[in-house]
Amino acid sequence: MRFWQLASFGGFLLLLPLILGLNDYYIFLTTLILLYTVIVMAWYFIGGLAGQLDLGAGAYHGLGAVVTGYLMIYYNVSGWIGLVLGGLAAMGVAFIVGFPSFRFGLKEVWYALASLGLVLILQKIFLLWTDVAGPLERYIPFREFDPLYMRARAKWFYYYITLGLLLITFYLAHRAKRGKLGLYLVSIRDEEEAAEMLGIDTRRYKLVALLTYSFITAVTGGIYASMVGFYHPILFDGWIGIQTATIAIVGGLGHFWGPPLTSVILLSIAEYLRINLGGTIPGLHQVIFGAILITAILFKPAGIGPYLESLIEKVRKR
Amino acid sequence: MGGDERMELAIKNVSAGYGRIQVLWDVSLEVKQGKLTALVGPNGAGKSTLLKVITGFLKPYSGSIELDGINLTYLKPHMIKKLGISMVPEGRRLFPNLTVKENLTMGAYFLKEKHVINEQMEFIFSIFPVLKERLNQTAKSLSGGEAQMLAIARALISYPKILIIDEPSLGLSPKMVSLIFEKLMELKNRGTTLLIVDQYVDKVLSIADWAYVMENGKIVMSGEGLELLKTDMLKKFYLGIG
Repeated sequence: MRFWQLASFGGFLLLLPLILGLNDYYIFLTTLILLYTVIVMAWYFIGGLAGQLDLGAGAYHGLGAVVTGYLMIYYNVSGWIGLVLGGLAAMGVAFIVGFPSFRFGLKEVWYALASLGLVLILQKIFLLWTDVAGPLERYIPFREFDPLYMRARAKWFYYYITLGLLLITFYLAHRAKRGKLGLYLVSIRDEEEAAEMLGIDTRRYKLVALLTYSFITAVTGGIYASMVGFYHPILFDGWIGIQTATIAIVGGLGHFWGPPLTSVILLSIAEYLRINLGGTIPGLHQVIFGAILITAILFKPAGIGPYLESLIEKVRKR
Repeated sequence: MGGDERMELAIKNVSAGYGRIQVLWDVSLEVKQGKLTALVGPNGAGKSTLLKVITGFLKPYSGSIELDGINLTYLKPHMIKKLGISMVPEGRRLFPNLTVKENLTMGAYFLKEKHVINEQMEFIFSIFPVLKERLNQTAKSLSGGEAQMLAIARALISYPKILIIDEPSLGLSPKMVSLIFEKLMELKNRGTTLLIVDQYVDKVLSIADWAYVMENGKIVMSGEGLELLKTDMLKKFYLGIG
């Protein structure tokens, strides 16, 4: 039973571009939603498990986009290598920021503000750093279909890359949750001083969580840049981090499948509203989206994931 | 105090505090192997501050802490734990969302070999059989007494040289307090070295081999537990009798 459920779900994801009629626009939107869902899943490490309210996803996303795009444009380096190098660059920045933050016990709102600050700082740096980015878009050379260079006209190409990344992220998150790392991170999240008293090197594990999250988030940036065909400092977008944390909280903080599920649902609704209302009354789609978020938090403060879990439990008991 | 006993923990002339506010004034204290040492005193006497200094969460202005001659004074908390000082913090501080088993696994962080962990688990269950029954329950679902037993077990599982327990009776019913003290006696009889801070002065002194009385950040009295219990001053201040 469980096998068939998984198999049919996997089949659905694999065939989704066909179901969407190979319509590039719809596949593009779907891929975007999946990309942001990957970030939500990566946030599980730093936010869900380690309990740090990180709002800096935009910093790593932007960095991944710039590094991947820059290498593709100026050094003709394959995007695949760019993804890895972008991820490593993000890990480097995360380490520079995270090490002192955790060393000096920065947490809660102060950590949140610092992580958001990182996005703004990097955006300014790349706006001024005209050798690499600057105020103009940098366009990645067009290729009809070049999988080795990681560039294609058809959007389904990016859909499958994103799907692969999503699966890898899911796998890593699941392994962490089941293993020792998850145990240590949850103990740090719930009772940091007690964990330290038992000898857990709390800084080290928080860093592991931050570095994993920053790497994956940077990869989403690289995929995004190649998909839209350019990069620009505007990709250092504070909104990405806020959206990620909001979805994770509405989905159920620390819950495993609640946040990604919520991400797919909410972002689909958001896109739908934007397409249908964005043109008629500007801003109305955001108002409605905000109202949905507020309603969810108001009635299900523990989050959608835990709520659905209790529903499933009830149905099973009958 | 007997001269030939092996010294375990020695706190020598420690002065400490928070920034400019000094809490501990030249405190010296010893915990001997296999003995139960008690530390009593009114609220605000500096007991918890002293425990923070011992476990490395607060660095003293001056003085030293030694374990079997090794200077711990400037080591980080996880190193001190690794060297064999385990602490049960005030208010237990269990990991609420983790199961009993996972809480114990956290306590066994430094034990790498599986069979050692299993041996220690069995040892824990022989003292606290109730924990075996609750193995897969989350810590937040435990009663106060069970939670305190788990907190002690979590600190004990790493096979510490010294087990420090801050307020084991806090928030427990009198019946549960008696049970916890029975367990502490059992630990003592099994040879565990203990340092206990507690509000139930009469109870803790009656099982202590040696006790220190702290007031205003200074050690004002020390002696055998039962002897101290008889002194007028203690009766008057802490027991409200005599």
